[in-house]
Amino acid sequence: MRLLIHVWLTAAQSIAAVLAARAQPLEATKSILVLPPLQWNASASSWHYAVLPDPNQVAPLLGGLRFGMTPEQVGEHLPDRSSALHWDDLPEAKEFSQDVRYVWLPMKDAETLLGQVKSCFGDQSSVALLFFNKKMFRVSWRFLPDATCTDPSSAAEGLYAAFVPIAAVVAVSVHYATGPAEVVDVTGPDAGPLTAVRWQMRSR
Amino acid sequence: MRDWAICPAALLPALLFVCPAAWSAPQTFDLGSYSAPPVVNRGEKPLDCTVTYLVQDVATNETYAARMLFEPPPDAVVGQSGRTPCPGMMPPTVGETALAGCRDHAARPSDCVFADMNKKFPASPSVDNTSDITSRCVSDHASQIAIACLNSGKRDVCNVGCGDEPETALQAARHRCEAIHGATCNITGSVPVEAP
Repeated sequence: MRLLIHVWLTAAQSIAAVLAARAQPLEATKSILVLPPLQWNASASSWHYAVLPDPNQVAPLLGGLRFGMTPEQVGEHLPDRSSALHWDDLPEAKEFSQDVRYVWLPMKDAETLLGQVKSCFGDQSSVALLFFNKKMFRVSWRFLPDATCTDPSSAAEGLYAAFVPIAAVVAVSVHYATGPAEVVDVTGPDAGPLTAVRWQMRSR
Repeated sequence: MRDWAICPAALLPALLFVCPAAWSAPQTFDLGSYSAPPVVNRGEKPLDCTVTYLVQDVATNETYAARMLFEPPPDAVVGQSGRTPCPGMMPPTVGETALAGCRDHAARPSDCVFADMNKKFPASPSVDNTSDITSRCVSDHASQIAIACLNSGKRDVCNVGCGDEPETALQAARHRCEAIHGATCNITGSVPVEAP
């Protein structure tokens, strides 16, 4: 009898799984992110970027910040800072094995870095600016939900879509989830192995 | 006399003057009403051909469009459709480069696959179960490239279609997806093959 119940439950679970897979929402739009176009030679043996990559492309999206800026230079661009930023005062970013430091600010106070953010995000969302060798190499937007914005994924996707058309020789952009956070990292082209390191959200 | 033979172009003004056709030409020209001359395609150097691939990051379900531009051969002329001819054969390196564009953004290189997926893909989500050829649309045959997907748990399973309108490309992608995977493919999107 117990075996019969087990078989019946397994079958029911399988049917439920199939039905769930088939019960798609009515219609959903899939965003298509556009990579920088490539120009090939006639024999299709080599390519170059169709539009010459321009390091100046990224500064307007970063509110005037540029990769390679010192903490002091970055501090001049940040809102409401009563004191200057110095490398020695910055906390360590623990996700890196190298000596990487960071400064963070609440996303709602980072207006100049939110030009491409059109949708809602939770109050706990933040922007981190990361430094190696006293130079900024990454801007990391960390979108979190809250009661007023239960799904900040549209905000993250919109921001990410603005960086994807920029060639990787100018900026490397990634979008990923960690816990409830949606993260968009934009890293300078000279970051080397630091580029692959991703932030992992720890429970608070 | 030998000089005229060497430079026949020098005779042109004189020929025009004595030619009856030149006499019948209008004496005055209203250039104001011809501000935009009609575009003449025949004999013009064609624009580049665009081959657009759709590639997918299976870890994030993000879809990327990789546009590849090809200069037409020197003797190519725009066809009757007004479209630049594209290369008949596409070397695998072009598709590999499209995947590389996705890999610039992916956590692992193996996360990037072509967006047209076969029946085995849901069970074995690797690039081997996707197709380079059917994941691309070429600008001499289509204006739009579309994707249609179903979500099998956490992963989008997709196929690609080409067409001259977003609707026809979407319909082609959707039919292909539903025929291959036997389920409703109602997660859809499209982009122009050529850059706007």
